[in-house]
Amino acid sequence: MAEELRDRATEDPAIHTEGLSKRYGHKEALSDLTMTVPRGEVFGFLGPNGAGKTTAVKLLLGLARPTSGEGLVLGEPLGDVAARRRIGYLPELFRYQDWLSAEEVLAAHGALLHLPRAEQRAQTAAALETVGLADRARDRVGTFSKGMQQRLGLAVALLGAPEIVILDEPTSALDPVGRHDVRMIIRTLQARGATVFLNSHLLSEVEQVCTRVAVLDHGCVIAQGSLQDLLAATGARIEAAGVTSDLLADLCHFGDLRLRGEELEVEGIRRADVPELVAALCAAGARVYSVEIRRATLEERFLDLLGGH
Amino acid sequence: MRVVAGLTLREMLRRRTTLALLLTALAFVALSGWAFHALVSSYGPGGEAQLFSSEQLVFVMLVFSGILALTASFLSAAAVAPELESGVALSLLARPMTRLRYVFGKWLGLAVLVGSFSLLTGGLEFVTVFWAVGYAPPHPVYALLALTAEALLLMTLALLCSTRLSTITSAISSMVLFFLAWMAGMAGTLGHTLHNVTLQRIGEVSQLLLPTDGLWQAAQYYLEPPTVLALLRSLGAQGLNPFVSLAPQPFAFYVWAALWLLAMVLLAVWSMQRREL
Repeated sequence: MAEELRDRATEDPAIHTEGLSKRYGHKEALSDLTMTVPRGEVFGFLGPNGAGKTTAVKLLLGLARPTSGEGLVLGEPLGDVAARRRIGYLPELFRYQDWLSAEEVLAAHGALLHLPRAEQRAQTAAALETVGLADRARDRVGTFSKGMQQRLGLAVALLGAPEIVILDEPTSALDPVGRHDVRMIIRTLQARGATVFLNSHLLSEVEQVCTRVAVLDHGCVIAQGSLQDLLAATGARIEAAGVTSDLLADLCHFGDLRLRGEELEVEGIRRADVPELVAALCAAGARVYSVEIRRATLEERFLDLLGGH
Repeated sequence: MRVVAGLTLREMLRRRTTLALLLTALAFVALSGWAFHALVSSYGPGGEAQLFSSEQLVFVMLVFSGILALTASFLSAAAVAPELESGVALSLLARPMTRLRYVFGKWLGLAVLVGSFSLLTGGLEFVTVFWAVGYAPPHPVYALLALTAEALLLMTLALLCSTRLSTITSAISSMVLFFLAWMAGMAGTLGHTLHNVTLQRIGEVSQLLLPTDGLWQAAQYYLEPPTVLALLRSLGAQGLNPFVSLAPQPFAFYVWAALWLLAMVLLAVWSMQRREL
């Protein structure tokens, strides 16, 4: 079964799922999740609270079993124990043994990853440095604030140089500095070729770091693709002279055109059609001085998508 | 498995559970040693004191069996359920570790702690009694092994419960079952003395369902001097005493107890494997 799925999944993606569903009693937590996350991407998994994002993450990691459907993570079936060595995970409900110190938590996870002792020590120090906890390495986790525990969770997820890092709401307890640090860490991970699966409902966060996104609502994927496609142009403002009302009537198939002096507002035009519109204006004798494409923000697009469901 | 066992033991050390157990052991041994010393003062060092010492030791070990049961139940119930409830298990079980290894690791860590507590405290108690009144039970090692096995069985039952129930529910459930088995065992002992088949069956079935009382009866038998056992046997129904085991447990019972323990560990593994986080 996994072989057939591998054959269907193109170009060895980091994650590939087909029809993944999860039902808890009468509640459909996730429905027919079909998605592909290419390797090396920062993939944003968006959705309002209770949309099924964390359920999907748990299915990917084998912490819960799907009711139906199947999937591959790093080419292995969901929940494959060996594949977990190549996965870093920061849970949404992050809690670590409060009676251990930060470096002891990392040492335990290093041992579970079968890292050699010297490598364990080196990676522990590096991970704590990366998340800004180097000076609290020997302090008990029980003395940490929520934000510091989330930083520790991030350090745990970075151990073992994982090929894919799954971050479930990684900045929920962090201040603006912490959020900035997380963005930097994500960019560093991307630079070394790792895939980042970012589960979040913080749209600005996703917009700043993600290259691809999927939007989930009520357990169903309602949109997915590159961020550029999702935020495709929705309008354009063109500064041009010599535009007549007859010309406007001829060009109405491009969208809703409104002329105010020398400013032409076009609503509902696709990004790809803008050069054609400019060419048509020039061919009709108008003089074009500037073109500004207007994009929807992720928030506008997100609310638009949710509004439609 | 080694990592999880190590973490389990370290948690007990850091949370001062080990210290509490050590103090409990010392208090228990000191108090009972003092009581035995008082006994010699009353009866003098003769045969009467030895006889009373033997019976008092059975009673003291019965109390110790209860302490062991409480310790094993609560330690074990608090080993898995809180990790599942708090989310600590999420990051651990997302690592390249099977749930079988997680459960075995927990079991191993707990078994080392509970086993050490049982053997050290029980051993210290026997040494103290010998020092205070010069009395030693006929088979102290077998008695201690039976008591330790009883604690391990209950510990495993609580571990199984804690894969599905909350800490307090797991601990209370296993303690209630322990006491029910004890009562049923006493009924069985009475049934043998009174030749009442129904009571005998109750005792036998309870020993199959939860062999803790059977192991306590084994420990009890190894603690009694042969002279006391011979006397009670000769008295028949008149020597009725539910706190005495007149015969050793058959070998098949120990095999059953071992299989029961293995089955509970495997059930705990199965339960964890089926558990959704």
